[in-house]
Formats: sequence, C-alpha cells, structure tokens
Amino acid sequence: MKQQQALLDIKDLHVHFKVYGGYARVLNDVNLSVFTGEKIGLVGESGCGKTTTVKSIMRVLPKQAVIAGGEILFEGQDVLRMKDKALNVLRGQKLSMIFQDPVAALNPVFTVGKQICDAIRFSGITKGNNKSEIRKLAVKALKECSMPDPYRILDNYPFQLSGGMRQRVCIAMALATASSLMIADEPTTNLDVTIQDQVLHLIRDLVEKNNTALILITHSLGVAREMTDRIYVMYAGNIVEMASTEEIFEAPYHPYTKGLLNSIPKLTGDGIMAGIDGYLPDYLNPPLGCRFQSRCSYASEYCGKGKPPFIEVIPEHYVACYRYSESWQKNKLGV
Amino acid sequence: MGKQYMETKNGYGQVGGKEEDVLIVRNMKKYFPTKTKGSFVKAVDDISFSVRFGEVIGLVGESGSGKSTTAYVVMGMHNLTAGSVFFRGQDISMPVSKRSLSLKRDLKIVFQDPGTSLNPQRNIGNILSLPLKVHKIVPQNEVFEHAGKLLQMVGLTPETIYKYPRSLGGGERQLVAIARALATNPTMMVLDEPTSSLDVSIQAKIINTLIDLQKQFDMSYLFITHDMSLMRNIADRIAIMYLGRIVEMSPTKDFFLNPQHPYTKMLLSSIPVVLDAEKALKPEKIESRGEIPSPVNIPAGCRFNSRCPYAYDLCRSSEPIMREFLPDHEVACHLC
Repeated sequence: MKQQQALLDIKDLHVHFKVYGGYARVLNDVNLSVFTGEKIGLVGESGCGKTTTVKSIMRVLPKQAVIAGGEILFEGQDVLRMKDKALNVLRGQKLSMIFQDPVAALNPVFTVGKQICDAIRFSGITKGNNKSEIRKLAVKALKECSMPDPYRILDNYPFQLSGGMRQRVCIAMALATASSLMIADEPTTNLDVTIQDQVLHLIRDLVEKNNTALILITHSLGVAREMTDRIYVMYAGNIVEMASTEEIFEAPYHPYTKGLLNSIPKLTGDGIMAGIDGYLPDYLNPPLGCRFQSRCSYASEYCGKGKPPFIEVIPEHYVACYRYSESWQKNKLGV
Repeated sequence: MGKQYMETKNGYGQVGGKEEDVLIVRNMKKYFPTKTKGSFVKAVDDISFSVRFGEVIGLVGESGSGKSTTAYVVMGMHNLTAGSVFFRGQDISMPVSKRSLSLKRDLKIVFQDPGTSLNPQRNIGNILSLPLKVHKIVPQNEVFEHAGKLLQMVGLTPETIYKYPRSLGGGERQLVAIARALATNPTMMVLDEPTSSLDVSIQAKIINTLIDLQKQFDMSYLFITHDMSLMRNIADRIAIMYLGRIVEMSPTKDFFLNPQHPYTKMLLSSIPVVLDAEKALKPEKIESRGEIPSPVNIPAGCRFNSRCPYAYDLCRSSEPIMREFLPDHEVACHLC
C-alpha cells in the first residue's frame, strides 16, 4: 500500500439492517481506501452491498440500517461520529454523489436550474446568497458537462430531458460544488450503450481534469475496466479481492472473480460459460466463514471455520480466500 | 411437432417467402397516436425480415428503437398499422383474440421481467398447469406431474411447483417463465430481453438453458436484446434496429467482423469489454454523439444522419433502402 495518507479510509465497517426476524448482517468487515485523484471501482452483483457501502460514506443510509462497527475516515476525520453541521460542510464541499436513477434523483416539480442552484447554495462554496453568481456557477457546471444551450436547460423540468441529459444534470450538480471525492453509483446502468459511452467519457475527463478521486460502483466489469485504476470486488458484504485493474482482468485469484469474468459474454464468440451456480446467501443467517463457500467449486472444510484472511498473494493484490493461505498450501503439498 | 400449416403456402407466394422461413414480417408498421391530432409515434416504421426454422435471430437496438413493439406485434398484442406477418405460411396479421388456439400454442413469448409476468397469487404448479389444461397437452390427472417435468427441463427441481413466485430468485422466476412458454411445445419463441434484469452469473445459466432447449426441440428464437456481446455468442443472424427501422442485418460472424452501417460501428465501438482479444475485434472508434431522436419527429432522409459522422447531402434528403451488400448481409446506408 502507498505510504501517503488516504483521502478516504474505511476500516472494518459492519452495517446491519433491522428487518422482520432479526438483523440482516449485510456489510461484514469492509475495508477500503481511496487516495487523492485515484479512480476506484467497486464491482459486484446486485445485493452484494456496494450501494450500502457508499451510502454509509455519505451517511444517507435508510432508517433500518445500524452501523455495527468500524470507522470511516475522510481526511483523517471520522465521518460516522461527525456532528450534523460538519457533515453538511463535508457533503457540500468534499463529497458528491451521482445516483443510479436520474429520474428518482431529480425532483420532478422544480426546474433543473433551481435544483442545481440549491445544491450550490447549500454547499456553502459561495459566500452569502448572490443569485447571479450562483447561476453563473450552475451554467459553468452544465457547460462542463457538454450540455447544449445551458441557459435553456436551467429553465427546463426534468421530464423535458432525456435519460442521458438527466444524468448529465446530476453530474453537473455533483461537479458544481468542487469536491475532492466523487461517488458514482451505477451512473450508466439505465442508459443505452452509446449514451453510456458518452457519460463515462464525461465523468472520466472531469475527474481527471479536477484531480478528483472517484469511486465508481458498477456491476459491469467492462465499464470498470475502462474507467478505473484499482478495483475492489465485493461479494455478499465482503471485499473478496482487490488489485489494480490490469491485474484483476489478467490474473484474478478469487474463485468468485474468476466465475464472474467467465460469465460475461465475450465479443470473441467462444460461447457462454457456465456461470455461477446458486444464489446469494441469506443475510439473516449468513454462513460461518467464507460467504461464497456454497457456490464455490473449491470449497473445503476450511472455508466454514472462520472469515477468510485478506492475503496479499502478490504485491498490491489482495484476496480473501483460504486457498491462498499458507496452511492450505502446505496441506496441498501433501502433508 | 405437427406441421399443420406447412401445406398452406399461398401466403408465402405473395410475399416471396421461402420454405425454410418460419416467420415472415413484411413492411410492418406500428404507429401509436399522440395527443396532438395527426401526429404519431412511429415505433416501427416499415420493417421486413424473416426467421428460418431452427434459427436464433438477434434483434438488437437502443431503447426506443422499436424492438419490443416488433415482438408485441408479432405476438398479436398490438394491432399492426400496415404490412403483414406470416407464420408457417399462414397470415397472422390479426390481434391475439382472433388467433386460433393452435397458433397460440405454436408461438410463445417470454417477457423481460419475470417479477411481473408471473401471477403472485398462484403457485408455480398452477402457473404451469394453465397452458397444459388450455391446450390439452396432457390428460387432466397428469398435469402436475408434467409441470414437474417441465421444471426439470429448465433445471429446477420438480418440488418447485409448491412454491410461489415471491419465494424464488429472479433467475429461477425467469426459468419458470421459460418452462411455461415451453409447456405447449412451440415452434417459435419470442424472447423479449429475458436476461436484462439479471446478474451476469445468473444470466449465463439461463442463456445456456435456452440454447440447450433450442437445440433439443429445434425451435426458432426471435431474441430481443440490447447486449451485443450476448448476441455474438448465441445468434445465427443479427438485425440492428434504429428508430423503427432495421439498418443492418447479417449472419453473426460477418456482422462482427465486417460491420457496414455507421450506427453498427458506433454501437460496437461503444461496448465496454473485459479482454484484450475483444478490444482488438472492435471496429475503429466512432465517437458516440447525440441521442436517438424522438420517434414522433423522425429526421428527414436517413434516420441516423443527425448522429452520423459521415453524413452528407444525400443522407439528409433521401432515405436509404435496405439492399444486399453481400449474400445474406443487408444494409440501409447510402455509403455502403
């Protein structure tokens, strides 16, 4: 790991959800760090806790969620124990988030301009309440998102814009308040592939220009490959593998990552692989030990014993799997 | 499988169909009226294609290109505005209420969202036994036993008949929907984005099941999707739709190795891929720009001219027609 201090450091985060019948133990010991200007991918299938992780960074978790342990350090301060006022400043000036569904993220009864201006006003980056200055910033943000005719767009309501345009508005809103970490939660899942290409380009250009760190959540490994420097693979509330983007695609170690990569239909047309059998475990009664064991073809009695250690198999490439632990290797060598 | 319509070839003569075609769509149009009088949403605007026996056709396009409307018209769920649809030699350009029972048995559809296409108040056994009873596939007393067999065919346990859709995962639900379509032993299935709401690891399983069934029962599929990489692996031929028109149609391999239409190239170059080998296969990058125009105001000339980097005067004035570029490879572009 790099020696410099991380911009964002999530340590041993546990998040449970109070549901009928007990607590759903969703996030189980999540560790994640982001450095200034770095582009991180958080990859996994639906229901694996990607969104819960970033929502806890923003502290916008639903009421039923209980943070059962761990800390989230942003520039050294613990977000989870922050007072509301400090939190507002943090959300306004340092963190910004793009949500998956731009239809739900924008209020249908206010104009786009009103919403962007509100975001700027509450962030506190402008002193006082100078309307023309705020509007200027909003126009600048829209222009940066290559929106045609930003003055007209400001007076439009969200329903007058297409899906791609709405997502651009959300990005503009996130950008208007110069932030040091942008969280994009599946920003292109609802968009067509050609529009996805445009939006991804836009996000990448903007974060590179402003030296903003990016956490990109996606279930599409292809998108993660195009956009990120480093990838965390998540499964059932655990980080199962972390490595640089090239490493993940060239030499994945975790059986889940391998299975996931195999399941993707390829343009080379070699047919469809088998996929991964089975389904996500029940979060109310998660299996002891590795949460992937029921779907894993390499599972052994080891895997049920305890949470697999996060092992550095090769420098900067970490895997949470017993197969790569020393004792397993010894066993395999025939002791 | 019965070939009760094969002999009635009179319809084929009219539209120049061949004996190997199971479904022929000719100059099909579907317009939906808008609030303003005299203006229409031209969801499908004059498309023609055919599906051969035992073939998987991939119908690909962005949202709003008219893929699903095409499927629904074929199924009779929408009345068509103009044109005709033939299925095994028989004209089926009528709504589903006027279609014969044997036709409904032979042509089936699987919808995109298995959460809403299965009745939440019925258990799986009841859901699967309905088509068996209506079409009298098996005697009344063997219905549940047969439902169990259908579930086994798609890779679920027969005990699933006692479960309700809500207690199944998304992938399992879709398998039940496939089993239901399979119940009547159809000749052709229309699959409307059957895996787009599912995760890739589940998708792989379902696609494999679908392909096995297709080979086993020699069915034809009209497979609607927006996922080109998926089509590369399963389709025999691919048709690309843009704004209610088919702009390119060709055998799969040719399609990916030698794409002709600028829109196809744009689509292919926009796909995020995971392997270097795939990257090498993508055509030269065409910068994606603009968005799909509204199907109410379709641009004059070529529909794609507003987004096409190669557009010139002719493209803005006259609409290109589909023509054969190579054998079996059709393109609608002035430049090809």
